[in-house]
Amino acid sequence: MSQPKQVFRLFANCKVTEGARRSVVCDLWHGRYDFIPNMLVHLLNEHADMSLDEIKAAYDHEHDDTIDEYYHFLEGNGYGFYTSEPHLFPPLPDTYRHPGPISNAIIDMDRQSGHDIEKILAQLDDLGCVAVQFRAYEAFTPGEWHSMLTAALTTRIPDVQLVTPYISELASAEWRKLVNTHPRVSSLSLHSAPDNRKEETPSQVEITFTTQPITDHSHCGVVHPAFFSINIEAYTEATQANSCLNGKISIDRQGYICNCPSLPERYGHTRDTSLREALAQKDFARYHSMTKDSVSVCSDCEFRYICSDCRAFVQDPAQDTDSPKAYGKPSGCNYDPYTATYTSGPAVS
Amino acid sequence: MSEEKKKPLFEHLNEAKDKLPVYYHYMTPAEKSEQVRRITYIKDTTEVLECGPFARPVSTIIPFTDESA
Repeated sequence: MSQPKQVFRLFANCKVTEGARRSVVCDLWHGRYDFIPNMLVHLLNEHADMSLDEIKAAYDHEHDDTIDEYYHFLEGNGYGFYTSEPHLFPPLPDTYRHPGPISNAIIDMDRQSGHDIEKILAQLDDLGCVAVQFRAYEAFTPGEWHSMLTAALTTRIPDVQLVTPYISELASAEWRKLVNTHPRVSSLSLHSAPDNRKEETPSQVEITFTTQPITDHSHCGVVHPAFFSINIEAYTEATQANSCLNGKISIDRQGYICNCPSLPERYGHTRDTSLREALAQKDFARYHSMTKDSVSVCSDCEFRYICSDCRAFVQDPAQDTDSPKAYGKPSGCNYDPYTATYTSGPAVS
Repeated sequence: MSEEKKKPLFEHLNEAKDKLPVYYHYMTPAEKSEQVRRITYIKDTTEVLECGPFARPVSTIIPFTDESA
């Protein structure tokens, strides 16, 4: 009696993205990725229903060692498995849904902003927002942050991130106390600090000290592996929508409502326009549904579903490739997918 | 105010621990670190909220260090 045919399948949480020169296989459950050759992607796509022996035979056994090496790599590193019942392991759909029109928000502020934080957070909560990042360009004490964060207590917003200037007179214990008091705070970045270092609180919140001064929104837009998001939610969103601007609403330091503070368009002021009204305006969501597949260079990049996009600081798409797409590559990205190298030169500073 | 709401915060946190998925208790420390969820108590309700970082960067204005790359 013959054995049933065994075919190779990637685990449903493992997704492959093909680039111009090489590909990546991402384990979206464990947050890791490895590079694989484009030929292996071809094998996975074109010979999905063949056994390993049948695949080798399809190439007249001229590449048996290479084919063995490729599949051993995937199996050995926990990306896939052999099965005689592949129909029992359907792929993970790429659909992405968020239960609300807004998933994340930026609130830029300085000492003159005078935002009504309680009113803004209540509106964000109503819109389904789950992450709010406060970006302060002038110093606010932990006591002032405590007052603002207290306004979040009656919301369902589970993630609050703080970016604020370092205050030399304050011991780091004061900041740790603030973070410990407010479990919603998932990260605290203190810029303009005397040194670069990291601390971790008992609740595993990372406090980052950086010497870099952050004086305005122009410091944003950097595309770098440190910002890669390798998880099911971010990956599926990136295949369907923009990996930065989708589901985002922002308040600039003057109180104007926008998709992103670095984009020029404004959609009213928080004093007389609700966030929901701003969101309903024509063109507010103009970038929400665009993916990296419509961006020059990025559409050929193996990282396009795990990196963060930027539409505020971009290159001219006509200069990027011979067949430009509708949108230009973020100028804060130094990666060249055609050579698989990072070029030198500053990103957005 | 009901008896339920008078409970000190830490009691709610301890109860919340029991609401974690069973698999959490079988995770290695490294896996727990990866999956960390902090639990908070919503004022004036008995609802428990799982806190945790958003799936992707809200913005990339936060500087990174070479070690985080």
